[in-house]
Amino acid sequence: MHRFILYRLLYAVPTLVGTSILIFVLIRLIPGDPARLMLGEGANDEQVNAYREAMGYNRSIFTQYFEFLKRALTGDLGNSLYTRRPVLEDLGARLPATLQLAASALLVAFVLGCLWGTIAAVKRTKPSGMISSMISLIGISVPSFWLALMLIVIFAVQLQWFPATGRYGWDSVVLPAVSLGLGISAIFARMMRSSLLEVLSADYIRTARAKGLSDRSVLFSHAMRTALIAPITILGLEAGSLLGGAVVTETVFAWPGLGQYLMNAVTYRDYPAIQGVVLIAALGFILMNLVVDILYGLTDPRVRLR
Amino acid sequence: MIARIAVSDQPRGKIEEADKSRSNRSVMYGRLRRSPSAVAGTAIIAGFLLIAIIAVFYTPFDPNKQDLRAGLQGPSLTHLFGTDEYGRDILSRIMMGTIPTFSIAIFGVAIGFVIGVALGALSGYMGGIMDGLAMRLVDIQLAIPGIILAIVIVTILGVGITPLILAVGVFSIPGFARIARAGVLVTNAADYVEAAHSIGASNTRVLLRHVLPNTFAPIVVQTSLRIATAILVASSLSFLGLGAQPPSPEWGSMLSTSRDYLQSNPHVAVFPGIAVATAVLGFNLLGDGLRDALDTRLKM
Repeated sequence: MHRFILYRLLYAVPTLVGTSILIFVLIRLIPGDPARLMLGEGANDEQVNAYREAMGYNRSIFTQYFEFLKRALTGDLGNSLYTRRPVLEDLGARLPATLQLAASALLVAFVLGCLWGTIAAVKRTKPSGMISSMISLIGISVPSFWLALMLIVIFAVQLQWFPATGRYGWDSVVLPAVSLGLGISAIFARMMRSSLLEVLSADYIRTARAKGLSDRSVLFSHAMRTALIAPITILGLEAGSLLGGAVVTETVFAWPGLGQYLMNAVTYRDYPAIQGVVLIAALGFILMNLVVDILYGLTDPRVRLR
Repeated sequence: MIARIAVSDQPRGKIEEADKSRSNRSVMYGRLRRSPSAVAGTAIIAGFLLIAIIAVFYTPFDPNKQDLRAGLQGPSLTHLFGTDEYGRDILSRIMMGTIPTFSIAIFGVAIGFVIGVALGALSGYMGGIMDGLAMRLVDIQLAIPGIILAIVIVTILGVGITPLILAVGVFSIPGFARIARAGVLVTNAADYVEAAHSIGASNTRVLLRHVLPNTFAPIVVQTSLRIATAILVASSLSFLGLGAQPPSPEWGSMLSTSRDYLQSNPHVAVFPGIAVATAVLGFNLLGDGLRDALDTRLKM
């Protein structure tokens, strides 16, 4: 088991290094001179050159990358050109909001997805099952930002049940979480449906039925337990991608998370901030994948043998 | 069958192969026609393509003509979907917006298709270091959330439709690469591939004539589903102000400007959103239908 975990950890290293190189290169491809942006329009050429020298922008790209990596490993992601604070500090202040939104959206997605998936599988040939399948297909097709706008119109403007924007109390997370979670619920619904259909045709379910158990008992006590493993597995993967994927929802709801920070950074060509968000999002994704892989190996011995 | 061979001067193997491929194809079309998802999806997509063609020649009003006195009118018999803040007819703009929206998605996915399938197929076929390198590249790209990568690409290339197409293209590469590689790995192990090698066929010929055509089913399914995702990503970027710019009637761009009028005139946001959702639904339905029709394993 230890060898499996070690192998998985080592396997993540090239991806991490490769991702850091990709991000480093991409950020340097953004047009504009970061030194001039940092010092402002009023700075003269001498000051800009001095700053470039101090920041190492005049050195070779390889030296710059290793300097960047060295600083990043010690938690120094540079200073934001817009807020003038260390990027890591900004990210630290914004991360809880994104984590709260991601966790709430995942909860909405998991509960609704499993519900729809179960109905779609159990009532496969009946209208309710087909409607359930259709709802999940529509869920995956509706743009989350449009759903967000519609939820604001109905529940914030018309009914005034929830605030339209910002992060104030528990109720302010409801609309962003629903608009983000509804699309992802379709993924859980499909997973749950196929998983439950497979389980329902298994021998032990036939045995349970033959013993005379009621449909409800067979479903909840026997089938659901096994069928839920598949959607639970993708919980981690979805969590990883949600850390960075909530950009649009955060922008619509003025949710003070990483996504909104990224959009501000893009507007002001704030290179260190863009770099910081992309790094954190990628790191989150790789770590979540790693955790899921290891957990999967712990629960399923076949994975360890591969 | 005997009678047909007797009257034909073609070698028997060729006739059987043609018969088999014809029957496979007709079975596939039969399945597609019977699949409600595929039929509904095709109908929706065909509807939008028809609208795009009509929009080139006719729209109820000039999609870009402003009439400030007629601004923010609700749906009526004159303006079925109402007017926007500049008095432009929303229906005409949605009709015209089909062209940029579909172009971005289709051309973007085409870029991802060509690069992704080539990368995945070569990676699966060659194996070894090439495979390891290509798949690490895919892993690296997948580590950055798609929408964030697209935002960074647009920031590098500048806003507009062409950068958006490229961003969608890059976004689509890993999906195609993985599917193509998986298909090639399975097909590569088949006896007929070994037979082709043993009669001296070159690697290029084996890959292009024997391996790739037989891995096409999942790639076709992926293409339809990817176009659906591409429409969502492109409209999201335009919504964020990073894609098509006003006065382009691209649907995401229309939704972006509608935000300011949500409280007083929500109709400005309703119709472009329905257009995006319906188009995405069409490609998702087609993708589902294709999967049912092409994937024989599912049938089993």
